[in-house]
Amino acid sequence: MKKFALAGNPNCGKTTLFNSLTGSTAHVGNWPGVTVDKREGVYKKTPEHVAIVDLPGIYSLSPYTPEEVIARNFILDEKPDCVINIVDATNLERNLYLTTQVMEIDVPVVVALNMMDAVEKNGDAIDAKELEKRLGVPVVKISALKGVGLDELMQRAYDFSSQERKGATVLKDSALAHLIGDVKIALDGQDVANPLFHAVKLVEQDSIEVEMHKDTVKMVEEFKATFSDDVFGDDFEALVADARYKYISKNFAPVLKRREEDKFVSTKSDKADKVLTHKIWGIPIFLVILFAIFHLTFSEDFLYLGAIFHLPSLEDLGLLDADGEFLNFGVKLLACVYDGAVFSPGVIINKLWNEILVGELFGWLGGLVEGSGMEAWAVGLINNGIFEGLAAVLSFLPQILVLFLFFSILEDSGYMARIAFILDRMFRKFGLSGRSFMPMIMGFGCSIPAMINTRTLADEKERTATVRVIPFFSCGAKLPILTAVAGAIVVWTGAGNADLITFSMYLLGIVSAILAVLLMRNTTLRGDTPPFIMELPAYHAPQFKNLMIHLWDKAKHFVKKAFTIILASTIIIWLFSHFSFAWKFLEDEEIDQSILAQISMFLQPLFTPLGFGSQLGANGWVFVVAAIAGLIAKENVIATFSTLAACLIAGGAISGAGLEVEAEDGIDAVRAMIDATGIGVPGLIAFIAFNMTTIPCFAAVATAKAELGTKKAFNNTLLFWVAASYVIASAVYTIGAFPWTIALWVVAVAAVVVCIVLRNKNLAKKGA
Amino acid sequence: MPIVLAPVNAALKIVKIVADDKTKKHLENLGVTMGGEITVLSSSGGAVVVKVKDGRIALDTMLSKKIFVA
Amino acid sequence: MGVAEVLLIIGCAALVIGVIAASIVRKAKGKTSCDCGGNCAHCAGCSHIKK
Repeated sequence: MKKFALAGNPNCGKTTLFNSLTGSTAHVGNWPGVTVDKREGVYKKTPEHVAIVDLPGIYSLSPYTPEEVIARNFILDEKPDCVINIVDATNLERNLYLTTQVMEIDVPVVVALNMMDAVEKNGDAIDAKELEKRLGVPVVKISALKGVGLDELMQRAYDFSSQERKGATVLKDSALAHLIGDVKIALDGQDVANPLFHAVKLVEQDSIEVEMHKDTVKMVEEFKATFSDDVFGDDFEALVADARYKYISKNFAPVLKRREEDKFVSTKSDKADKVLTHKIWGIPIFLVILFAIFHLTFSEDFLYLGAIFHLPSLEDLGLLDADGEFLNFGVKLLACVYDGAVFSPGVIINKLWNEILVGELFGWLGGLVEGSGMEAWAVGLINNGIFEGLAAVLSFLPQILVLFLFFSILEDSGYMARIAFILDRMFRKFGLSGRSFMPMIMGFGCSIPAMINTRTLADEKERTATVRVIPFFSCGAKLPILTAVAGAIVVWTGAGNADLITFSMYLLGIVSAILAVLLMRNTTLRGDTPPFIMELPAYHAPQFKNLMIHLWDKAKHFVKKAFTIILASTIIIWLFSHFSFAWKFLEDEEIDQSILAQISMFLQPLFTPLGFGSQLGANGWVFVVAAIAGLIAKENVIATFSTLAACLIAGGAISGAGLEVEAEDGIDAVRAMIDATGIGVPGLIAFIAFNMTTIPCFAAVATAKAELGTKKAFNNTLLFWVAASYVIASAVYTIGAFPWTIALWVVAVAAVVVCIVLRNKNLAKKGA
Repeated sequence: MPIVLAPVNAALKIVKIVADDKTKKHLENLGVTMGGEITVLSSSGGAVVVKVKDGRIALDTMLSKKIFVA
Repeated sequence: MGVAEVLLIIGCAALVIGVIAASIVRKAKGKTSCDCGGNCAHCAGCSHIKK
């Protein structure tokens, strides 16, 4: 089978072309030696099937980034039968820069002129025949987005691939042409394959080549000693780059016939940018778009129809029976779309998935297991351990995908690059770039897509810092903890406002995140925020097929995680909470004898500065158990309170009179905990703060592990979460319980700031 | 003059780039080279959007002070 | 304890051991679970390899 490689700039439509060519045959593997994913597929419409390899998006074949090295080594070592070089016709000169380098390799090259439709729409024209003549390799006009010209492209590549092709260079007119020629002859003499390409790179004093041809590089150095250019001095690399661009402008660019020559025409994209990146209007417009996305994903009152028209709830319509249950399945379905207000699309999908699909499926499976006559522990393991764990993880799926869909649309349309640009100045003050805004704001929905989205950050340290603070942006699953505890405080003290408490906790999270980023960027993750250089691709409508492929990848990845690492972790936690050290199976109500409870009692004193440790006495371990259970999924925190409350009432520790501990809002369960332990308001608030900022759920931890790449970064991140939550919750508790300690905290913070500033000054001096 | 001060929508020529090698190389790959043509499309508070070849590139304040045009 | 329970224990144990083994094997091969599609400039999983 023949093997073709796709090479081209980022944003040139390479992935779209790859998806169109290979369809369902595409699969993802690893590049040998490195961890970069390798996309491969098969094209079947040529006489003989062709394997297609999608090379990483690159601007050049220099050795500066891993993508460049991968692409270069693949073409040189794996010797594909043909390289299809995708060229963005709307930015011809810049894209041909890579083409001139690929053409120096002894491999058949076919140029695919992509986005021809956009060029023609502008009223411009490219003479492909003429370009073909000048380049000396086949040129085919295509539109990857619309699927135009793909078969012709593959047919010509297929025909051309059986021919031998010798490398050709555009540097024959440059001042370095003689040197390149001499080096090439020397390399030829040493039987080096692709002598022209290696000669050019050696002249550029490319680090890989210098290493490979230590003897021959002397020729370049000798010549360099006698050479000096007016503009570039003896920087051969810049000289070569300049010579390439000059040749392209002179010889290739004229094939592009512009509608109006010599006059600058601003495109539709430029006009849109005048508004969307406007000094004043840019940010408000972005905020409106962001609000719309969150409204479409999370709002339970779509377009505020319910509030405006005072729509009746299902109960008002008489569709519920006396117990508040749905009359029939039809009503249950209706309840996924409407209940006193029309739900937003994201909520509808979420409810259909969770209430109907996942709920019914696991309910049915659970019934089967219960009726199977297995022993009690086995039923418990399957139903409470495995099924509940899986359902909790899978329940995130719809909202993750919906959020991801919206953000993919922003990315594909080209708007995301503008957002990064307009926010860059503000974020620079915190030591981050504008791109880190998006992942942070996504964190309010769910940490998982937010962490995946940090891939758009170029700098590793910035990315690590962002991943670490994402959980501080309190996600949807943490909201029940906030509402239950805040609700219980209000009911118990008879004062305060639950909404206000909830809102302040969100604010606390944001402030903590900003402070943590500032701290990290000045200590462990120090480094200059890289200069902001970003291509602003022309706006275009995202393609449905691409969005779906994107989503499918995400869903696959997530489900794979749910059924492996997360499932395994759930089983282990279940084991710990349902067995005693004596290896005796425990019913739910006997959780106080479990290994988990025993460990929690042992750990309890550690939480004394946080307000839910030793001072709470014999029953204080319940808060520790809940926090540990929250590591699986934050939904478990309140669910564990319910279980524990039932256990404490059964054991006679508290009366439980007037408390509905099974209620879904969890308020009474929290009140039972208050009764049993005598915890105060500062301790409760500290408990929320701890859960908000500590290690997030298993699914998020697994994602962080994948995204952070190195083991070390991941371990430090876990440590960071533990330390941050401990410090923040301690501060909340001590200041709340003993207001005078605020002075101590101020002094401590001031001392830390002074130390860091002094140390950084010292380091700067040493560096200078 | 640095590009941050340059007039909007006028064809300019790059005469000097003051930056480290890595940044320079990145700019080169995007078509921002010595002697190359560049047009400022918009300039707000130091950050600029420029047109180089047929691409649009956004640069922050730090860089826009380091690219000199004539 | 019946056949079902024994199978359950074996299944759970196999899963837990499998996950641990898989992570060890991946680590031995020097792979991280990066799937940036070769877009390395935007991928921490790749960029640390470079150093």
